[in-house]
Amino acid sequence: MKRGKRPIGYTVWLVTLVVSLALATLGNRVYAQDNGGDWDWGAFEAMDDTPVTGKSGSVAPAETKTPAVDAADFARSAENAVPDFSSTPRPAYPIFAGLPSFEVIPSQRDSDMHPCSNCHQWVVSNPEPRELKSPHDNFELEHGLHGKGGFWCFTCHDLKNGSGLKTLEGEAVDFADAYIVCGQCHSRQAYDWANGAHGKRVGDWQGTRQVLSCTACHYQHRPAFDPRKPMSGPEMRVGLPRPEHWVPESQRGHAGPGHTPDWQREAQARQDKGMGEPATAVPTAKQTVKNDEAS
Amino acid sequence: MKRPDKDKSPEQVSDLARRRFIKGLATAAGAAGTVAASGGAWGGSTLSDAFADFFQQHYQRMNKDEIDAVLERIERQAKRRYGVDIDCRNTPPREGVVFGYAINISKCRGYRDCVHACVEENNLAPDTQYIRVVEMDHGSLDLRHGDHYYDHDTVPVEGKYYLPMQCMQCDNPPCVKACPVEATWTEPDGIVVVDYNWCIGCRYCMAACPYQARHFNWTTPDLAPDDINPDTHYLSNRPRPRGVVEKCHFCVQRTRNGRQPACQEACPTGARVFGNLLDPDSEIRYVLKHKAVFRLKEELGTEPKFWYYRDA
Repeated sequence: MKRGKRPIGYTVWLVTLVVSLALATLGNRVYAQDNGGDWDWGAFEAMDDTPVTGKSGSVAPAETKTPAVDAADFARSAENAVPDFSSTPRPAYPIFAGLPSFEVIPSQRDSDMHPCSNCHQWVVSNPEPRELKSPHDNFELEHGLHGKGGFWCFTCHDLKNGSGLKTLEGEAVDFADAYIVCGQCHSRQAYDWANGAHGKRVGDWQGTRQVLSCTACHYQHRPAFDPRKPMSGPEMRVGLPRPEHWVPESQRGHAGPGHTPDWQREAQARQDKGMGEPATAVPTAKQTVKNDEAS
Repeated sequence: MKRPDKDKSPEQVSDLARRRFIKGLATAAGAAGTVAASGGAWGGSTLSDAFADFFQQHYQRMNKDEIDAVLERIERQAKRRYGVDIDCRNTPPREGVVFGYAINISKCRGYRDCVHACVEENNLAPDTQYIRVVEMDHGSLDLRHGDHYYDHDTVPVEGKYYLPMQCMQCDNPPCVKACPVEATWTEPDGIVVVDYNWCIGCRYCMAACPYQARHFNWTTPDLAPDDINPDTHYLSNRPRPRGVVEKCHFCVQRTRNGRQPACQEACPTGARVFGNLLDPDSEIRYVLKHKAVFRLKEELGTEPKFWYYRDA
């Protein structure tokens, strides 16, 4: 490539990077310009060694150091959909008057696993609402879709406090109390949740109610549940007409344990070999008895 | 359990059975009525245990000592049959508790996690499932068009909703009325239970149940020793013999100790609500009071203690 054809943005970007690094060395905080260029992660990898400290004291720190996670991968990773029961429960704020008291189990990944803080513990955020470009272009905010993009990071995140949330009125909220932020718009769900008709109770059916916080089940940046492969269903009775979508047990790739009893597998093999039509064939006495089992 | 004589001819098997019978007789004679610890005959039991099994009284007519002896015998038999130390208890129902269940059908997504949690918890034969998740067309409650064999790549499917069915623990249970020997009855906490030792396997209750909630053990349940849940109760998940009817019992072994039923604990969407119907502060009472609830086949007058509701 010829020297003269290098885009001018590159030079601007290089200068910005040098200035930023200088500032980082001096004041340990960087003001980042989202200038559309490629981002050099190498400059910050060293800083990633410093553990991210959450604001909440009740949440146990993660055992391993926080890895530099690709935000999109993080959002779509399987474990993201699994509720986390291991955090310490804490009493719920009385967000609705006159309701029985209960305890909330915060989602641990909120404070310790958030990939944003990998950089934004060092980098001051740009508060200007804009279309996200690199290095943010791998992150998709799929929340508030009925508002058609009315959401912005600092609708919920506290600009002044990197590891916290805020209400719409600007009051600081801990990550562990995220339900206060969620409940501002989803008040009907929050009311049901506080009363026990929405959300997941863990532990016992009796005594003080311990419920999971909203973000334990709903990934906050893409709250809708993902479709999933179901676990295996009951075995089809031999002789019944099979629905169109039915697949033999041997060809299924199940998440869960599946089991076909020997007698049914044998009968199925006989049927598949063409030893008589399943609906019209006269079954043996032994088979007749056993066929009723699935009913 | 693998049968030891599986690869032998019928003549050999019957010869073996006869020999085992004679051996058992000899053992019994030798032990002269005391508990004989040796031998694998009598269905994995000893002669005295087999006799005690046969002459056991109805659960509701036994006193505490008799029940304790029965529990010990059940543990002994499980040890002999599966090689597993189970803990069979007889936790009584709690005062002032009647259990009820509610499912939010807006939240159920048909993952069947509850089904398999139940299979593991309750020592079910792998081809028996207490919970049936029925895939239904939107806007319809016609169970005849429901499909509980669905096996899609992903659920939920567009235009369908999911209706989990299990024993409804009816307040007016037709199965109890159908039983000719009173082997099934309603406990004070509202759970309809079965005395597996008293059941004669006539299956009348299965015919009487409008929810197809009862299941029959055609064979001795094929349990792998590693999969056996040792936390058992006489009326619920202890290892069952062949030829008896069983059904969902709201996890008696868990709920009488304050724990959630296994299906509720496993539900990943929080669609299941379980609690004490007599406690006005319980979640289930909130659901019944504030949500539009319905029960299945209400017109039959079975009064199920199992409700369905939806958001809004």
